[in-house]
Amino acid sequence: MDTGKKIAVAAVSIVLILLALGMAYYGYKLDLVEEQVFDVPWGLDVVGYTFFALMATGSSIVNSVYTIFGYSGPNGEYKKIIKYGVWFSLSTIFSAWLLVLLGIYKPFDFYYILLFFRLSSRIAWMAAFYSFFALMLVIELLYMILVESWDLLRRIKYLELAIAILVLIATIAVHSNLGEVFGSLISMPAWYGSWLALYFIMSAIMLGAAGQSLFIYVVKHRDNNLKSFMSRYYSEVYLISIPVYLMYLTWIIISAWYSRETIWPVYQTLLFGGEAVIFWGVEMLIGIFIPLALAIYGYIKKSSWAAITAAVLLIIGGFMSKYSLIVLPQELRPYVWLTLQISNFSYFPPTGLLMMFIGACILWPSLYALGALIFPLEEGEKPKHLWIFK
Amino acid sequence: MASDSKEKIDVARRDFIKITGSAVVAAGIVYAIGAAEGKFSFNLLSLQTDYEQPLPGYSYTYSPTMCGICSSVCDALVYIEQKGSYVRAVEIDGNPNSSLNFGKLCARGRSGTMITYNKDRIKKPLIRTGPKGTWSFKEATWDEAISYIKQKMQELNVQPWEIAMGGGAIPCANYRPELIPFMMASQIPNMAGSPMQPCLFGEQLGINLTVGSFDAHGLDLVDDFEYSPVIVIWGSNGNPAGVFVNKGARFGKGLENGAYVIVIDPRVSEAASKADLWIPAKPGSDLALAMGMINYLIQNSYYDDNFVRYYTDSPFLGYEENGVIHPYVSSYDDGTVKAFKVYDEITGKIVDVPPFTNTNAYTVNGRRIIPALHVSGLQTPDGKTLKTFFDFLSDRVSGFSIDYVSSVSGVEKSLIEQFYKKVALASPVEIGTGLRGAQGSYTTQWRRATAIIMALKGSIDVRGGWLYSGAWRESAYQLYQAYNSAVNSGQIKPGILIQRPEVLMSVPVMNLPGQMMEYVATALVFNNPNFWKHGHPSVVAAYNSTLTSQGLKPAAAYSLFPDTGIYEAINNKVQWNNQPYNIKMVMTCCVNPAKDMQESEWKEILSNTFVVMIDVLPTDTTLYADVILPDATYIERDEPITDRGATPDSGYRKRWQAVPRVYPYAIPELDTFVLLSYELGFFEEYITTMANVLGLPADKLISAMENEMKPFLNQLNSTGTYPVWGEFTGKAFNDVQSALIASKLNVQPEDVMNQLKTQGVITVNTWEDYVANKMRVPWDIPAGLPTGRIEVYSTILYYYVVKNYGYDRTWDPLLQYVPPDWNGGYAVTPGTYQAPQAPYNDPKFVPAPPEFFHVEYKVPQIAYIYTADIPVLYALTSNSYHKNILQYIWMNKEVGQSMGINEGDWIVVTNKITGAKIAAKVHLTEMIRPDTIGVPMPWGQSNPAQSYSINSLESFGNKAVTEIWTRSYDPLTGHRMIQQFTVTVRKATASEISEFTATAEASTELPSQEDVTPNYSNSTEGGV
Amino acid sequence: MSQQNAYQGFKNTEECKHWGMVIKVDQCMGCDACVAACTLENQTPFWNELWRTHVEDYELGDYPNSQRVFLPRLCMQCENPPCYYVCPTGATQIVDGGIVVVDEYKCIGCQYCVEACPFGARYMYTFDDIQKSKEYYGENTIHVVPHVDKCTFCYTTAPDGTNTPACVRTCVGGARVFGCLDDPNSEVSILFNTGQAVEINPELGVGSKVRYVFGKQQGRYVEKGGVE
Repeated sequence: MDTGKKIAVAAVSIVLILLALGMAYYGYKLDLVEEQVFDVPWGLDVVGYTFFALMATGSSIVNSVYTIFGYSGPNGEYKKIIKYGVWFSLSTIFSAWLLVLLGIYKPFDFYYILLFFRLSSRIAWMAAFYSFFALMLVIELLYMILVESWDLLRRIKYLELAIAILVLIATIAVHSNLGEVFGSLISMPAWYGSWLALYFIMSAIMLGAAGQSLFIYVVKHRDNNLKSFMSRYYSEVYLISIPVYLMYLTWIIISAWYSRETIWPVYQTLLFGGEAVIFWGVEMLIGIFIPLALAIYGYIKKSSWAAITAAVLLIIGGFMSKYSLIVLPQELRPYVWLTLQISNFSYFPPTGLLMMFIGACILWPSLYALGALIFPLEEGEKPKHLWIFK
Repeated sequence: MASDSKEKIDVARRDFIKITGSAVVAAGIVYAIGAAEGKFSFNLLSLQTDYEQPLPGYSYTYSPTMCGICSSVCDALVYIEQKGSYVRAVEIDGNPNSSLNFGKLCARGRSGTMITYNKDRIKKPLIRTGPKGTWSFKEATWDEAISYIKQKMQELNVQPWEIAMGGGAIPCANYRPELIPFMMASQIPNMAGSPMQPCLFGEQLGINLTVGSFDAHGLDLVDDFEYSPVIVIWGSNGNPAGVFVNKGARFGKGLENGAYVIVIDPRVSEAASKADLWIPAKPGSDLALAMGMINYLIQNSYYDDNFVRYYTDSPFLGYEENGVIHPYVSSYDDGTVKAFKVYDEITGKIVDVPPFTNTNAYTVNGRRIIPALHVSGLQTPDGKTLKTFFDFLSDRVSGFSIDYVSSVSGVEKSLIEQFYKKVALASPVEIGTGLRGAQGSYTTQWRRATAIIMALKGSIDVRGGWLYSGAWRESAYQLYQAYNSAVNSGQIKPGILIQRPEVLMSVPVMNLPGQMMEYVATALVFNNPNFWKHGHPSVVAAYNSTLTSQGLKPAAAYSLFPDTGIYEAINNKVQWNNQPYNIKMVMTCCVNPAKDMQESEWKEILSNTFVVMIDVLPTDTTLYADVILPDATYIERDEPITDRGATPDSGYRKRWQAVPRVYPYAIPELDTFVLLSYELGFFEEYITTMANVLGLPADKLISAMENEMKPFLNQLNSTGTYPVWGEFTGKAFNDVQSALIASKLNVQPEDVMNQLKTQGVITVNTWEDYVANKMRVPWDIPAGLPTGRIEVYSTILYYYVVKNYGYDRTWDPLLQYVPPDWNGGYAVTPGTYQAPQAPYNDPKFVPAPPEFFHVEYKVPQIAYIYTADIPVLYALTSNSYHKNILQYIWMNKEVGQSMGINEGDWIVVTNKITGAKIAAKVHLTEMIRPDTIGVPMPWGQSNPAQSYSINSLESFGNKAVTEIWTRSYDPLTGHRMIQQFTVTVRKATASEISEFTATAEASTELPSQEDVTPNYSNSTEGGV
Repeated sequence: MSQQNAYQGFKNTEECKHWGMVIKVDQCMGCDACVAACTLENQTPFWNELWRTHVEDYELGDYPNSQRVFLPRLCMQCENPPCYYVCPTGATQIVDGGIVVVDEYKCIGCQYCVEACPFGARYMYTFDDIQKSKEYYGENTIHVVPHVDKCTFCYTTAPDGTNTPACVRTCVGGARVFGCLDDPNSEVSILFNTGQAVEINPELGVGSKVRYVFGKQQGRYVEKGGVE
């Protein structure tokens, strides 16, 4: 890519970033004056946040295959993409943060969480773990960049591994805790329980792999060997994660069937009721079965288009499943008073939240692109300016 | 103000943001400590905390008042916030010192401040600019308004009797002593009482005639639910839960004490939800049900022999002549009653008992006797068979076996048996009177029957039964003494009170016990042409005489302030001395009185008269006003000292002004009336009459009034605004009253006012005191009735109504069955009895869909229709979780589904007689009889000036339920027979829906848009 | 009775570590006085039909065995309130009296507590509502910044001279009883300790300090089982 092009792309992505932020903020402002959706306090904002958070953390899990388990491909292809993978995690987390911040009613007071930290609150810990996670990612990325030009670092034994392990710990902490943000609510039987943490890890891996693979394809679309490696590698990841996820989901549904009164209505609507089309059509067929088939094909044939399509579909399906998981139980919220009552509310995201979400979606690739342009993320590429930039 | 508070917060934030950095670091260290604390949180640096304290710098006081929203007139405390000159009422509590409402208030009373601060309020005098029925007014000054009124009155050449006042429960419960004198002084003989006057009067007359109260809206009788083992709530949404706090609070205590509750209502009303035994009796069967009860009590001797024998007129002897029972009396030469006759079981002779006393234990000569309840083989000298009233009573009810009653009321035999047994075996029992009881022409007899049941049970003036209010008791005692002194001083011979008017007149009329006050007001004042300078009685009396002169029955033979005759006068159907009796002008005050009259009639009346309204909110009737004068709300008033209302205690209380009047053009209505009298030149008569009816020194009151009035008048004349503080009428009264009370309680006048200011109430005598002082009625002193006994046989009906209008079973002096007569009877044409055709002539009749019986009921959240425009109350009824229950028409689920009607459909309800229609959404429920629909009262708004209640058009059409009321009157009380017709129900067509959801046109700005800035400032320059 | 401040007539003038409330369903007449009282005293956003307490009508049974039950609902003032534990900033606090309140300056509006409350007793008090509240309640509004709002047993808002909440002061049927759970002779303690007052959803283990007495309704009994 020649310099002029680079500058142009950089400019565009900067503009897009600003646009995204502005849009999201406008959406937030709009949401304040819009009529509140009291029945579903956690709407699209929380869904999108969860979605991006899982993708970011999942991507670092995938990275750990190289950073911790030291798998670098038949002839070291992984080295070519690992920095991009790390940067993907880091850049994606910003979209999540944008949504979660503007999702709260007074975003500029968010630091109260750290000021008046309540240990029993999962959201409080969320904040803590995020800071830790982001911090570790930055360190990891810096290490990877600096190590190219700074022999001292290479000399420190196990430093790389230590950082990688910390990153992995942070990752697990983040999305298992994220699971318990929902899982610890006795008020929401459909969320309640420790299973959500595991469920999130599973779907995180799928989302993470899909996400980073997409973005890396974009950058590396010229390198054919790499592409065939990636196709096989990511298909592999899908082939491992999808069946486990599927099995897990089945058990969730089966166990839900046993609490007929409170939880089952949710899954009933999902499986046979109003949401059936979305569940079977989008979450299952588009989100699971087709990608699975494509993954098999992509693995055998090393076909990059199969892997790419699979990635896209996985992301769509992944998002929709998070949507149903978070919104549906709120629509069908059980109250036990004189008799059991299940609230019946149909939620459509208000304009404000939609704008926030779209903003986050724009921010996501633009930030990544900008980073890909200014950071030396190629294998063996040395930083030229200010120690860390190209 | 609000903005600086925001400032403050921001400042607070900036302060600690500076140190945030260090804090975050420190935070890490302290986590552990936090955990160790076990308290799962900690607060490093104290951020400004707020647990919803009000903003700083405000001081709080309170001011006692009397709630002015409904006729329960509860004692209340207004909580007031103040900062500098800013004053505002925060909320209104009940007064815990009150033995009337025990510190409790209903939703309406609680929202009282929302009337005062309502943006819809009438803020300035308004003069009509456009056609009637639309909102088109121009703002005016008081001066302009008054002179406009004067000018119009001259143009139309309005004579006093051509004016009809519209008052109702609010003025009746609050301002009787001021408004009646106004009418007397201004020579206006017409008062159309409402809201709900047609209902309440018609409902209660039977009880009032029997026990001597004027309990039109729970003033004279205290339902002592608290101590009753068995509580019967009889009528559509009984007012204990209707909700009438002075009864509701006692009802609650009764429930707490485990009373067995029986509710008779075709639907599961709020009251019925509390019932142990719910009897969904068919509309129209109440009288049969009650007579069955009397039969059951007498046949099984479940009655209180001692009470019935000695304290009621049951042992009196009488004879029957073509269906009419006449008392067997010995008379003076002038024909007045000298003594009643009873059969003495000791001597076996017929003896004379005194005409007015509380007991039958002694003859006129003071000899102890045992009066017989049953006699046989007695005859008058001229050979008429003599029986006791008690025997006559048992004959009259003998046909009402449980089987028959069950077949008539459409209720299982077992339920009725259980009902009768529970009442029979319990003592005392408490039959709480329902609201909305004016079902048909049988209402009076039905209510007399319930009162007779209470008498048979001996449950009158005993704990757990009907207690008399302290005020009523005091006045009964005063009348008793007046009678004694008159007799002892030889001024009069002993006689029954209604034949000794001089005694009645010797007592200030407002101090008379309820029923005698009512008799004097009706018979001797408003229906008496000679009382009035212009020789015209009330339009009611004129209409009665017009009808009777045509050989018809009257339209309101014995009724105080019905709306009877006004509509007919508009249509030139009323004559007096062969001259047409016209109504040219209508003057209403207080909360929308006309709204509870027959809707098409009040619209016609108001469209064809010059209408002056004194009101707070732009009610539907204001659409027809020519002039609207802004009134002050009750927390903006400072009023005379009054009695304690429907509590056994006697004493004093007062409505204090809590906050400065929010709109400086609003004048409290008592002042308005005095000012009017001043303008129209009968000031002195007015004040004198007021003093006389209350027994106050006239000269003192006049001078006080003149002194206090001056500054108010001056400011009004100079600035056009009225002082925001104070009310001269109240001040003047207080000056005089406090002195009198102080001397009575031998304290200082200041102490009286101080006690009222801090505690709200002064208690002089409690129930216990009265028991100790031997002042129970009729146990120790005579009831405020012509004979002084509890009148199973009503002498007022006999000596006033029967003597003047001949006999009709509607006003049978004893007790007579009056059939439901659906779509017939007196419900069709005034004064004419139309024998109903089959099947309506059969009491066993049950309509088949789409025909239904119709009941209507009060929604507890809303007392009178105008309170629907209080934002909080409207929000309460429009809540998603019970909007359908409170705003829709009730219909039985199965029936509805069989008719293809679904929840929330618009239906049209049509009156079988008049063909009048209302439309509303329907609520399908299991809570109502299959043959009956239930219509909530408060809805039917069409005035766009009511920003909040106009939204009810989503649920209920723009015509109120009164639209389908009958266009005729009960011949005795003049009430509308609101259940004596059937209705047909069908789905509404699209065009009907759009027709019924249309709002009235508004061609000028609505009150909520007027730019009159509200005043919250405690400015003394405005005050006096 | 004559005291300096008439509000003392409402009792509960002493301080207490654990306030409690009992609702006698039998005595609730569904008049909504409590709802109006609460709204006026705590300036809740009735314009959004949001209340700290409201009374639900249940229509049970078939004619003629119809049964109408009124059930007042409000915050249960839990002994271990889920809303308290989830609040990330400590805005939700347990103040003296064991009352759960929200410090509106600390609340960041994440609405985690709204999700966490099994009783649906919390809702968001928005910027919009604060503007409206000025319009209805005058300049001295107790809600200054947006926050999650809930029942506070009228903590600091009850008139001087009493701690009794508005709903209890005004309850026409006397269905609401308020008192100190530390005082074994208070009516609430007796109803609690004798087990007449039952907890709704005891399986949640939140330790409600608001309990219900279900007795006769229309001659039949509401099954306590039906309440769970």
